[in-house]
Amino acid sequence: MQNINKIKNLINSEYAYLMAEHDNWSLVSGSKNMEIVAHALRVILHAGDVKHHEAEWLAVVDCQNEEGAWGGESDNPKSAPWASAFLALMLIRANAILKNKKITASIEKSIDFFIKDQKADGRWIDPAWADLDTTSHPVSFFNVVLAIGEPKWKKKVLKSWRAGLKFITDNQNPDGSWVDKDFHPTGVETTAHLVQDSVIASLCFPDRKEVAPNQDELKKVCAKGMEKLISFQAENGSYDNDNMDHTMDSMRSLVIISRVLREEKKCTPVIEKALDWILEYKCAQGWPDFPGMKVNLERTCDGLDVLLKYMVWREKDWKQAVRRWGYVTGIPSFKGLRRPKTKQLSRAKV
Amino acid sequence: MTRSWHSLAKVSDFNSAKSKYVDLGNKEIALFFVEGKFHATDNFCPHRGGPLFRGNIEPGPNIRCPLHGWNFDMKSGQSLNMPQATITTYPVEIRGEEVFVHI
Repeated sequence: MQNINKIKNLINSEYAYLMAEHDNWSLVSGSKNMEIVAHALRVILHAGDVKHHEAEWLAVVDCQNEEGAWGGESDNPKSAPWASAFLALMLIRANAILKNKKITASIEKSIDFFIKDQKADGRWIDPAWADLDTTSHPVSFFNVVLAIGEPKWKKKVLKSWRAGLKFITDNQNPDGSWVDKDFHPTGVETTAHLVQDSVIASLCFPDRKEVAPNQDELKKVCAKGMEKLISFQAENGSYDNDNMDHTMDSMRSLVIISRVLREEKKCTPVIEKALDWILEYKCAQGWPDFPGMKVNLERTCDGLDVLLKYMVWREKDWKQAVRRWGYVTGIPSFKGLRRPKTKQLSRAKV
Repeated sequence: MTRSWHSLAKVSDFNSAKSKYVDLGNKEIALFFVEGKFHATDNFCPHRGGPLFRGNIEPGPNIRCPLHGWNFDMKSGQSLNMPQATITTYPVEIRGEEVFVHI
């Protein structure tokens, strides 16, 4: 089991590194890939540092297109549903702290976009991603709308959320995995994404029995997904042939599943082994996609998110872990953040 | 930009591996040895920069990005599941023990 003080120190040193890389992920300093932006904002949110970075969230609002979505790149407004859902999720979660009217209006626009963009069978489509993976993202956004959103929003998204969730649960394989034969034949990443981003939230809402009356069925879906994720792990603790991204996804997925299903005993050795491997192949600063490769910012943000989620996974209150996904009310925080000195942030034209 | 032949690997490098990558500073090249033939492509997937040399080699031969599954024909560079996407492929020649790539 990892030493918590060591993890805290690591979070602080990696957070300082992320802030030093500010110009490479921040919209405030110019055009960016929006997936990188969303990954960095998630770290800031989970580090409890949102108030010091409000300009970053407002810069995201400034990039929203007329439809209510975002492009994959900030300078290309063509709607990209996968990235848009990730950004909308960051907006609604941060706005529980910021309570900014511009952000509220932006969230409303994105809700309307996703309701309109959904296909008849409940899926969403983004040509750059597998449909199952794409669908899990608006469902994840709507999960948070249902958990912490305004009552009128909840009413608006419920039907669409149920259809998206049904598309996902209907496509689970009997062995508990989700596989996309065109994009993800191994199913590791898709399975990890779909449980943590979509299905597990339905077991967490305070009014879950009204929102999702088929609780027993959804619990079974998550339990089967959990068993499959456990079985996917390699002897060395990694997933998918030493794939850092997929190991981080799988570990984080087990963090929330284990706390919601109260399966900590079964999942603890798997989570600890995965984290040991993730830390073994960390570089001096940041993480690579595979051991021995150069670090990249997206994986470094994922690595920080892993550590921040591990911290709350070790807490007594199971809801602290769920709060890291936004599926219950309350503000995520990290006690002990040493805020690095950063340049004065002001909004630039993006 | 003028292209020229570069020695990027030894044939014996592929005794135990089917792929490797070479960092040229301004770009990375992935090398594959499949069914007795060498292939060279860009190492980074145009989607999210996944390292193709760590991808799954599939019949074709094709290379599937290990991050999000974009799949490319190693000979033409054309993606099979993302019609608009391509990667650059490079001619390969074996000269004695050396693997030369035209970059």
